[in-house]
Amino acid sequence: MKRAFQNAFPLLVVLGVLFVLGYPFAFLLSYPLAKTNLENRDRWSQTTFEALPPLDLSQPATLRFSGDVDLEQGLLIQDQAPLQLPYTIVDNVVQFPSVAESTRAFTLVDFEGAIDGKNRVFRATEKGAGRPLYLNGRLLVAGHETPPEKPDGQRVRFSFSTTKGVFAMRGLLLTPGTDYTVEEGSLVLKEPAPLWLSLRTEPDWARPMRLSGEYVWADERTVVLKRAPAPGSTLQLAHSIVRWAQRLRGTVDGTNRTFSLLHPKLVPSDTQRRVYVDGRPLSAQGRPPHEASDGTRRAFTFPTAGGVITLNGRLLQRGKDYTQKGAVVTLSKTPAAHSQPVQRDYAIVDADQSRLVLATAPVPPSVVWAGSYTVYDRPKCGNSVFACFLSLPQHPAPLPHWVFTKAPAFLTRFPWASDRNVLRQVVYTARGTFVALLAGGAVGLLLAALFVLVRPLERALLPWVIASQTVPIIALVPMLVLILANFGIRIQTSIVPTAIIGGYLSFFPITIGAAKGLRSAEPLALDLMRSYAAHKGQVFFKLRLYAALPFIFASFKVGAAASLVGALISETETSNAKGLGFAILGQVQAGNVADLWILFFISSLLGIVFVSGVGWVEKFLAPWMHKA
Amino acid sequence: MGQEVATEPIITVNDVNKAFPGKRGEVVALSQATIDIRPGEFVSLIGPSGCGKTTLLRLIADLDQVSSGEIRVKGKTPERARLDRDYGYVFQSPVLYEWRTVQRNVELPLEIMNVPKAKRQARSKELLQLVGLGDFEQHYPWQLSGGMQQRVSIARSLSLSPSILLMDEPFGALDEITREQMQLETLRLWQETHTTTLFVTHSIPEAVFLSTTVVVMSARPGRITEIIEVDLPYPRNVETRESKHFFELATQLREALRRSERTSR
Repeated sequence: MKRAFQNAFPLLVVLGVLFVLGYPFAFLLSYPLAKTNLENRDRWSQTTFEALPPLDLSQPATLRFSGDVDLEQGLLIQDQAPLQLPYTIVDNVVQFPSVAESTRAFTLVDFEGAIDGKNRVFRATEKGAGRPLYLNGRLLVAGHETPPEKPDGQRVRFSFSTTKGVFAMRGLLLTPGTDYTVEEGSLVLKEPAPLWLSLRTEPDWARPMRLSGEYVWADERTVVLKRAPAPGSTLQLAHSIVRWAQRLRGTVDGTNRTFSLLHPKLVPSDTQRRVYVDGRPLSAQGRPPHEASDGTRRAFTFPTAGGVITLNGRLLQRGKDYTQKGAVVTLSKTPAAHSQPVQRDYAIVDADQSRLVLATAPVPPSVVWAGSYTVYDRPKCGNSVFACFLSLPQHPAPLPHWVFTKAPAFLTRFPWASDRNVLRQVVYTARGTFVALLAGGAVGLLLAALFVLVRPLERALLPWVIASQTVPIIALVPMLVLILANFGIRIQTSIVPTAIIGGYLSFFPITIGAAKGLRSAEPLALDLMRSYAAHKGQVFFKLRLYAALPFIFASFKVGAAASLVGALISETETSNAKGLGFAILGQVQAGNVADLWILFFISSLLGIVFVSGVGWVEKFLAPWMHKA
Repeated sequence: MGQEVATEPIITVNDVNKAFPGKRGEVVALSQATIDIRPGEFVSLIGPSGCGKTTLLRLIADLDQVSSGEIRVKGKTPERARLDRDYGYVFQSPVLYEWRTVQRNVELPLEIMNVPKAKRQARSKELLQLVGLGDFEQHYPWQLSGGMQQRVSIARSLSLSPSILLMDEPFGALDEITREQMQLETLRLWQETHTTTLFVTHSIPEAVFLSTTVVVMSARPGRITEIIEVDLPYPRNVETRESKHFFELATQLREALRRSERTSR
């Protein structure tokens, strides 16, 4: 026990120092970002919240929504009104008492178009653009990319971020070859995209579009899918569907008129804001009076007798700031010329807290809810760089303790059965590394033996062996994947590409190390063999090979690390979806820095395991090398 | 001394010169060496460092080739003799293969000769008994002392029962006490096996104690200056070293060495 501690002590000290140094290191790396955030404290970005459609309709009596929302904070709505059906919420899943009731919660409309496993274009019988789409009960993710170039009737070349995938334009699915070609990373149409005057409408249906989600609306009725649905599938448009909407905070007791939205920092000028009392929408826009403010007028006639009155956006107090008789409002002070008195269904009294005052107090059992609204957001930042650093949502280098606090959630994020389970990815990469090391080791030892036994071969081949290591591996990987794909060997299913790339990196140190080892026999030891007139094979297998073992094991340790690097690189090939390399690439693209560092940590651990694994084999195969 | 009385020399060295290429021209290691060795003799080569003792031994063993002159081993060329495994060679250092146990080190020459395993093991056990290491068969070389390692090396050189044993300063690295013990062992082995032995040393008492004949050599260039017969009676033992005649012979040898040093200047 004591001995084990003594052995581990240097490692513990190093880890401890690294841990402590991690904090200033993280601060140093995050400093520019924290400083930018401090400077940008007052710059705002907009976020829009909208009522959510359910993710999954395949189990009729239950509805699943995105895991991010707290269902208790809201209510189900249908057709802009609270759902008039009983339901319960269990474990963040909405459950209906029976299937019959739940089916009334949504109406789905089938599409026109053959579902034959090839067709990807479907027409709705009614205007459908913007409505959710379900394939076999699963909510499809909408998404498309439009190029920066606008069609002007002549332009044929459009640049996308990538030219992979499916393209559509004006209700049509574009066919490669006949409709367009790909040149220098751009889409080149055979015929110019027509100029279309209603280009300002979104989405820009006259522009070529690339599917980034699972489908795109090519016009108001036509939808283009990224993948053709398999025969027997059902593709449905949600004609009338329940959605999850936000309930406003505030007591409904017949007198309270003040309510607030869940997210702070409301955008006051948001005209898309949808606030409802029960099924009645409250207009986000104000109603101006019939008369203009000319500097002398005090009485204004509004369209209705209700509402709250604001002057230049400021809420006026009834009785104090104005009196009202029917639709005529008389202000207590004469407003300046060009002032804007406005009558509203509700007024924002505190945009920072997203607090609203309704014109009339809702009476129980009314529900006040929001279907959509936009809020401002800004970097969460304190008054100092350090405070900004602490409140960064993403750090270039995480604080060391995060690696431990976030690791359990990270490791168990996906179930074991999923390819994205981290342990499964570790196993996959370890397997690749192992095979790569065996392959590289076999090639390396063979070459070394050839070099030592047939001296001229070394002179002939060594330059090529060295040259092989100067080839940029990052260029080699896609090429290799392409070539192997021609033979039906795919990186998704075969370990061969990983073995080749890892072996390619590991054979070099093993060749050099083993060749040096095979030459390392002492002159007297060779003289001894000569004195017994041993032939070349005997000298090789009884002397040279054993004398080389320390070198071979050392080179295998280097080779193990190289194999791991090769395996990781080969896994970053985009068509692959397995292994640590893929996971690292994914976290880089997603910008999850803490997870990335956990993956670094895991990869390094794997490397250490492999190198010490070689050490174990050494102890087992060559016990004489570990004297006393 | 050996029982058979043979007159034909087993090794003849006739006017042998050996030069190594050096940075500034050739370095003459051995010059005009001529010597006959008869079967069963124990011949010591003695001389200062660089006198070509080891070179002569390596030439006889065909580990190096002569520049001129002729060597015959059992009437054959040294190369033929090496291929016929006519000699065993004991190096200055034990040269044991550290990945082999003591026993398997002794078996190495037998393995090379493709001797069946059972026979190999019997022979190696017998040899290890002979050198007094019967209990260390399964040890690795690094678990043994320097003297024990050199004894393993001697056992190995005897494993093919060669008629000639070439020993190149085998006890050079050992302490005095171990050394004298090893000398006794060597003498005992020589008497038991009747192997013609060529023994390189630069210790005067060692040469006198072990040899039937001592060959005195001088340095720069290496040449044979004197040959001294040692007529100490057998069995030689601890008392022999303290006998008057031993000291006389040692003195005679020391003087011969001094003379040879003078001639080389």
